[in-house]
Amino acid sequence: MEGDFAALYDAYAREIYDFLYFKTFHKTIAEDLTSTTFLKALEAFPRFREQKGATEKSWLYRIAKNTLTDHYRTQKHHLDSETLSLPSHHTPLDDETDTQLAIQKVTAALKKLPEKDQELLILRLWQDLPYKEIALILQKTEASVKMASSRALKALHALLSLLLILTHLVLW
Amino acid sequence: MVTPHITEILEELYAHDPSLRERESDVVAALEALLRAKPEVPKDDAFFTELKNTLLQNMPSKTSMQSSPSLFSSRSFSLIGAGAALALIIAVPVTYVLTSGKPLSFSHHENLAFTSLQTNAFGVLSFDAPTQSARPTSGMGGGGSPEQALSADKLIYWNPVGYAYHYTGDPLDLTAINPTVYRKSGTYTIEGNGLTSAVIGPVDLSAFQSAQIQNFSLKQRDKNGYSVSVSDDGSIYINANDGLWTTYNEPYTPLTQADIPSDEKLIAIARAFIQRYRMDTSLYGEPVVDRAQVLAADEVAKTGEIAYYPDMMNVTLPLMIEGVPVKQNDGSPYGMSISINIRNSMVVGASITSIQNIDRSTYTLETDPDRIFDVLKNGGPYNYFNNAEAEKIEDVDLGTPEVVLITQYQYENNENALLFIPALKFPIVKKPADFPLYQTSVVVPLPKDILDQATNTPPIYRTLDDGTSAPAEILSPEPVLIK
Repeated sequence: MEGDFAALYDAYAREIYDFLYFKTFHKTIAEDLTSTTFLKALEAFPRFREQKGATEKSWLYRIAKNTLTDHYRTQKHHLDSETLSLPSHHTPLDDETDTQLAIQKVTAALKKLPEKDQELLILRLWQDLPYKEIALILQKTEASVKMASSRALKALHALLSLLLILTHLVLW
Repeated sequence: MVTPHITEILEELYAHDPSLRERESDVVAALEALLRAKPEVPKDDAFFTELKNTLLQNMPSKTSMQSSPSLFSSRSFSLIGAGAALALIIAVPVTYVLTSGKPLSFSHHENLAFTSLQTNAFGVLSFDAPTQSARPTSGMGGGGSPEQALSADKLIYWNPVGYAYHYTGDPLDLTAINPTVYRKSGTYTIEGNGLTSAVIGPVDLSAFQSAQIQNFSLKQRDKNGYSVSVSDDGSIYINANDGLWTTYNEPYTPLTQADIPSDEKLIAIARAFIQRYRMDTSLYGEPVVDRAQVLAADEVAKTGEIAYYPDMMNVTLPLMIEGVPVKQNDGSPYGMSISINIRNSMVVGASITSIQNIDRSTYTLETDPDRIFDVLKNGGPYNYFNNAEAEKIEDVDLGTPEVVLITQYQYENNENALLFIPALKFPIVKKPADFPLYQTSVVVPLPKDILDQATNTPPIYRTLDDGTSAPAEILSPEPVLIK
């Protein structure tokens, strides 16, 4: 069992951490939540059996999501986009402020979406997971996940358009 | 620009929702914005390595280790010498030597290890009378000789209401009670191959030769986590970090009776904590909720006065020694104690004494029920209440007792040894209707040594704070009046 769990950890630890970072934008919190996720997984590992509707990966993601929910419950608030980390591109110093602002606007718009829509877009666009895997994680059908994804993208665009009108910000 | 990645996503979406094609430009714009906004994830390889090590150390099978733990791999320490593992050695009677590379462990086992000694091996057992700092219904005790029993600590408060205790339970048969007194033995020696020779800032700890680690503490980084303090006497204290303590809005709002949770809820919270932090409860019995403060508040509330209900309540799993639960001399359980903040239902602390090795010795116990009844009638040897000069005597009924072990400290060779003494715990089955009584039980120790001292030690009165003097006459001979 030790070897199996170690292999599970090696395969997914960084991915789970990324997911938790994308949800919290806070390195220390993401580390703590990752630790808690794998401790819970270790405890439950002997009882886990891969079956229809649950791969090891989707199982870990679900534990991570539950851990995150517990965290939000105790924190009573979500971190806002002001705690965002560095921009994803290396930009010239003069452009860094505008880029940072743009990223903040996009992230703020993302955070205005319902939680499940945020998760969907993060899993597909930032973590590049296929819809089939996302469906397992969210325990939905692939079709409903895709439908929800298209709705979420439309909503995101609407929010971004509103932000652009309000702030006259030109993105890149 | 529409990248292959975006194209792939679009095709997936169009296959399911063709109407999206009509809004392709909007969807592409949203996708591009979101992809560009993807943050760079800060990663610390050391974190992943450390976490993996921690997880592997905590595998259910601890016999094979994939990697050596490094408890002090934190960058704030500089370690000298090979390996950084701590070794914990139980000095007496069995020695466990953990060499470098193995994890720190108290070598906890599911069963206690007993060493049988000769009769009366712990010397004359002393009467552990109640002290001033304890609750009125409890006696924490500090042990001591009969001479010390006459110190100012042994006070009986004058009380306008006295209580007469009556036994109403089954006939007592004391002949079959196990006459064994137990003593916690052995100490933990924490040896650090790395730490005691570490360089901490400007100080080289190796200069302090033959130094030993007496205690250490850990603290979780999460403000909703805990700190854990461990001492070489086996005591472990867990305290919540700031996030788990409820902050109060001004003005402070006291709790009411309706705010106090049920035993079931409190026990569930405690069990969840024990399970989450993987605590071994194999040496402990079923959990018991300490409602003493709540009962006291209820009594006050009956009188119409403002009652202050506690913000915290304890759930204790009593230590079990050879099938007998361990209590304190006020009848409350002794063992693994979990403190719960009532306002937010969170565990804010825990107190555990790790016990592994026990010496045992037989002593002569009292077997005459009449002797026990004689001690009981005034509320037992740990009672505060004195009936002398009481304006009114109220009756209290006691039920059939259970055999328990009570904790008692025996002072010898400049150290306090922790003993577990056979005793009877009598439940209070009927209280006076109109006068508050916070007690729930009366405890009577059974070793003759202790009973003889308890019944022969004269109680002491003190002058009350309002300047009136306490009654001079008391029931026992040779009264001592302190002014």
